[in-house]
Amino acid sequence: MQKISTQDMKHPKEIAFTILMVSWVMLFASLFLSYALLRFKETNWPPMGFESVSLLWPWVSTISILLSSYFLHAFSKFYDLKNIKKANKNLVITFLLGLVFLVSQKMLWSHMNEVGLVVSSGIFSSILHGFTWVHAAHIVMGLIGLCFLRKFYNNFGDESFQLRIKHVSHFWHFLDIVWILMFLTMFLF
Amino acid sequence: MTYAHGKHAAPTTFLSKYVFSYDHKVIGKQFLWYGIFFLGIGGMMALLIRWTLAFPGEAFPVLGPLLFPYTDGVVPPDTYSMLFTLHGTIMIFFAITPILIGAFGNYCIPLMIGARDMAFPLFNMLSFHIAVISGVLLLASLFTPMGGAAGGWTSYPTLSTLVGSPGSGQTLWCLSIFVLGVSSTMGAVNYITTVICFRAPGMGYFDMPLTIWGLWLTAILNAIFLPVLGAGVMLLTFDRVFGTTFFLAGAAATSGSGDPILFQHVFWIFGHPEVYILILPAWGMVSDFLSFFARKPAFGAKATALSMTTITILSTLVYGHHMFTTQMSPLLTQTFMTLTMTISIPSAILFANWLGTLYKGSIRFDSPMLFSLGVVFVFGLGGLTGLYLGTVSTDLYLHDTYFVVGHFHYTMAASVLLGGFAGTYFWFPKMFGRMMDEKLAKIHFWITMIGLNGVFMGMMVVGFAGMHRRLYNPFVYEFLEKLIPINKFITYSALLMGVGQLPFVWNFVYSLYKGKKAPQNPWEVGTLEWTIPSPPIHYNFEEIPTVKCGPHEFGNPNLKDGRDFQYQTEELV
Ligand code: HEM
Ligand SMILES: [Cu+2]
Repeated sequence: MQKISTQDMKHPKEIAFTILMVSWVMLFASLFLSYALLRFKETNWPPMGFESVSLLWPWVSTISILLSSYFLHAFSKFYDLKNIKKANKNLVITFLLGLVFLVSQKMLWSHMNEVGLVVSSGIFSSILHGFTWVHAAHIVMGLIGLCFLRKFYNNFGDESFQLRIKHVSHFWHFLDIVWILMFLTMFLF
Repeated sequence: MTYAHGKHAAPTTFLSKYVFSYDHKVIGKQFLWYGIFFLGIGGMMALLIRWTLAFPGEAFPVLGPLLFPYTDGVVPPDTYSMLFTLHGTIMIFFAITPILIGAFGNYCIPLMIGARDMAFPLFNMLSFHIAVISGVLLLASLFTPMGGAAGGWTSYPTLSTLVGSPGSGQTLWCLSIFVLGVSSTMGAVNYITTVICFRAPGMGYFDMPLTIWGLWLTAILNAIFLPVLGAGVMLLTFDRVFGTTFFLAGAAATSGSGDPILFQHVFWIFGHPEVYILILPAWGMVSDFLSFFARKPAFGAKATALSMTTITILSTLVYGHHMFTTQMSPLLTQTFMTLTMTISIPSAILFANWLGTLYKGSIRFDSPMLFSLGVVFVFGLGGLTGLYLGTVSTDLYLHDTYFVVGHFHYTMAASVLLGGFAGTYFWFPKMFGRMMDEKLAKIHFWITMIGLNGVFMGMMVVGFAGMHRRLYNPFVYEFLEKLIPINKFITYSALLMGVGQLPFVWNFVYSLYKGKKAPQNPWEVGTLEWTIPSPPIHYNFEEIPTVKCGPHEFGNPNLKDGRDFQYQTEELV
């Protein structure tokens, strides 16, 4: 069996994960680039006399995902301290907040449909709907990732499990940042 | 701590050995078969296209009446659009990519860097299976009620939106490309990680064969830019399926509508790196083969690797040269023109190094070498024609003519195809443990070379004369009628080239079963894959080799016992 000392080198999984993150950054960057080009083409934003979307549900999304990032961070801290109870609590709260985020997105879509911003009513609603779909789909992937952490209490000190926690967390925080950018550029301003 | 890798046991059943195999060598061969299968389909489509251009309104011989019974064997106009769309798509994404990157990447990377497998074998297997799903989606699109995609391999809106292509063919095309993007990204992650982490002890980056450099840079470009294409086809799918309007200009085209040009930006941000994704593996292989068969160290190998890297970086900055005619501001066109021209500097270094390697070499004209010399020739021609297209003033005339088609077939089709053949002839003994027949290989080379130059040179001539690409019957325009004879010549050349592939197919299949048994190192080169038996054992290396010198150590006067090369595992004499 080939053994490679990784003392002086990152773990292959870390390198692979970094590359995957670059791919995801490029995916969302392409979406933001498209958004920028479409928006700067218009003289008024929102175009076609649409009103901005009510900020209620976007705020709920923002707060829930910010909190979830906080609790996920707390989870990994308590995992390091081998505190099963607290770690478990934080992990469950993270997961629930992720669900709250998805529900608030669903409410946002319903709300937009109610005020006439249905998917097919022009570029403004295309962007709002399309980009939130893509992001929400990734949140679902993130939630699945969180499920893979649930057996943490059997894996204290296991290096590959520590990496798993690190990577799921990074992915989750990344989605958090993407949402904040979306919130700022698409809803707030 | 230590990291063990390649922990899977030798497979025993048929399924685990040939279908669900984790072994990079098997996955490489799977990609090879996959690519050759699609190469055949894409090639048949090319012949249908060429027939239509040379003999408009005449029935395609033999197969025509079977394929198009309603028109008595004549290729109908909508089918013609479908044919050139799928020809391009299949050749780029389903033939070149699987063969050059999937097959050679998988097969060669672990063997040439002295590893026992890829970093993530399971990921690697999934990458192939996902590629199969993608291929099935693409082929399925042909059987939808309104036929396959017909908006060109670039699938520009509005041709590719519901307005231009109703029906599910184009949607399946988008999904197929998206799925393939996922597969290739997974492969790329594997390649990059493997090269970074699993080089044999002692092998620095500049001790890697240039083949590995090419494949590695390609993987990096893939990981960065495939997601951009993914985003583009995803938004296009949303437009088609859910009714968004990202790429739809409204009737008034004033406010609140999408923008078809946006797709061109997204497509070419990916698309220009993509052309280098396709050529870099071939460049790497040719850089190695020229040295191997000239029995000389590669001239300026380090500079070759660095100029490939420079080209990789610059290739991300020039995509605008595909969009000079989209009413871009002159400031932008001039910028993109200048950046495009900048690529000639590293390209010229690369090319000069090839010639430097050949200079005063004791060249052996074995088939891999012939094909590599072919690449040098056709790539030189193709690269030069790029300059005329990269210059705004000439491109305004040449854009969307057959000159562009000639250009990219020289750089991409011809160079990559010849590079792929060179690689196949070179590694066939290692892959299957048997030799291919040299005589047939040489016949194959010369017919292919004559055929393809006839085709692509002809394309540049008719393009320069003003013949537009993608027209069903260009000769409805009077000024193009004079070009019918040249178009006939191109078609005959294409037929010749098609026939020229028969010796290859025969040679390949025959040698697979009946070829002469291959020795361990038939070409007498020193890279790591030739230090082990042909074909290699399940784990490649009994013991992980230690690398002590570079891959191109030829003709060292200190070498003893009649050898003119040394293995990478030997101390430099
Ligand atoms: C050597 C430097 C090169 C330059 C300056 C160059 C320049 C250009 C330009 C300006 C165009 C756009 C022409 C038009 O549509 O009006 C073009 C098209 C194209 N080039 Fe190149 N090129 C170069 C090398 C390559 C290489 C190495 C490849 C592939 C391996 C390649 C593949 C293509 C393809 C596929 C297209 C056309 C795509 C399409 O419109 O369908 N080029 N090139
Ligand atoms: Cu280009």
